[in-house]
Amino acid sequence: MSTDELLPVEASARAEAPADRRRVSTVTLVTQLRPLGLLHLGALFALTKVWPKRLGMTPLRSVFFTRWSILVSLPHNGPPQLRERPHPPYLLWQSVYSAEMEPYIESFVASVGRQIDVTWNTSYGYPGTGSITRLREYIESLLWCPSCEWCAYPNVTVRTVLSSLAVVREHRFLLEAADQASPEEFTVVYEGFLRRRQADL
Amino acid sequence: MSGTWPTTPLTVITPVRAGQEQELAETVNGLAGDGSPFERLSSTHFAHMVVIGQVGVGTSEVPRVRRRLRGRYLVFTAEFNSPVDDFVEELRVRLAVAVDEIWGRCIGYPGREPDVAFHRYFRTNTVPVLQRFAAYDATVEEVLNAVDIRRQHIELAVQSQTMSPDQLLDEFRRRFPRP
Repeated sequence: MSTDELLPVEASARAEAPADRRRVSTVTLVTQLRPLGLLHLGALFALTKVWPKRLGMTPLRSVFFTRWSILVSLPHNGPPQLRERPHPPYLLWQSVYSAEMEPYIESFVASVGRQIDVTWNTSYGYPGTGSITRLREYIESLLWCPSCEWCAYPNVTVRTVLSSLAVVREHRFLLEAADQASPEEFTVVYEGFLRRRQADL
Repeated sequence: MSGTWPTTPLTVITPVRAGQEQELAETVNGLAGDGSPFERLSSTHFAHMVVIGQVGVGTSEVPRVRRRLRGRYLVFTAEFNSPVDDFVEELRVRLAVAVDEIWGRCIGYPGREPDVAFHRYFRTNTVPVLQRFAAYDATVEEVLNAVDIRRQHIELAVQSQTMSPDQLLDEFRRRFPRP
């Protein structure tokens, strides 16, 4: 097999987004926990530390980072700040992702719908994942718009980062082959690389 | 996994001084985009600021007893590859005046000097992250380098379709010279 028989990678190259298009967004959601929600989430998060796949986030290729905190009280700095112990306690969820909001919610629900239910069923007003529209309305009504979101690589999607890291893992072997192999041997190695990594290019 | 410090999350929630909300929002709004002072933080993937206040429930389902927030709070979050103390020190030294402009509008901010008080302020206002997911564990440098290598491979793959083995090897060596 020669290199010109390989998949037409120029198609994927063209599919790259314009470099100046911002691909990263953040979402901050604060919800109020139902009675026993604190206990439920405490147990869930503890379990997830032991069995990380319990939250099942790994398949989702549109989320850079996501995190949860529970706010039983807010840090106190002395007067004039009043002591704050919100009741019910708050669940703070933040996520950095690369998609528009609605497709993001859709893919989130499709990939980890059960885990979303397990987490947010503990919050007042949570409509469940049965209707994307209702879930989007719920999220939008509780959303806090960021005043500032900064990213070191704003034009890159999660998928691109994951693909790039996968390419780099094999790239080192190509470097070795380029040092040691004949042109014909290198071509064989290179074609194997293209076959294995064609989805990442 | 990153060969250095693993990617670390930080959430800091500080109370905004009454009457300073608008000025804070304007200051923080100006920090995004090109030329942002966050560019000076070498190990930081993301930094994010949002001001929160009274929290709703999203529907008519309302808890029977409610005790709402009485003030507004600046929620600062970041993901970076360093110990938290090192990151806070980077904030203090590299963001410099920008730090004063942001947290100077928050109650209890002691200023950048002495550094001990600055670190104590961030420690006091840090909220634990109980659960977290990251798609990958790599430093900013590793990510940017990987994205560039992939881009070069895409270009090479297109070119290679009309190349002889000799040309392919020469072009590969030209694009990816050994250090």
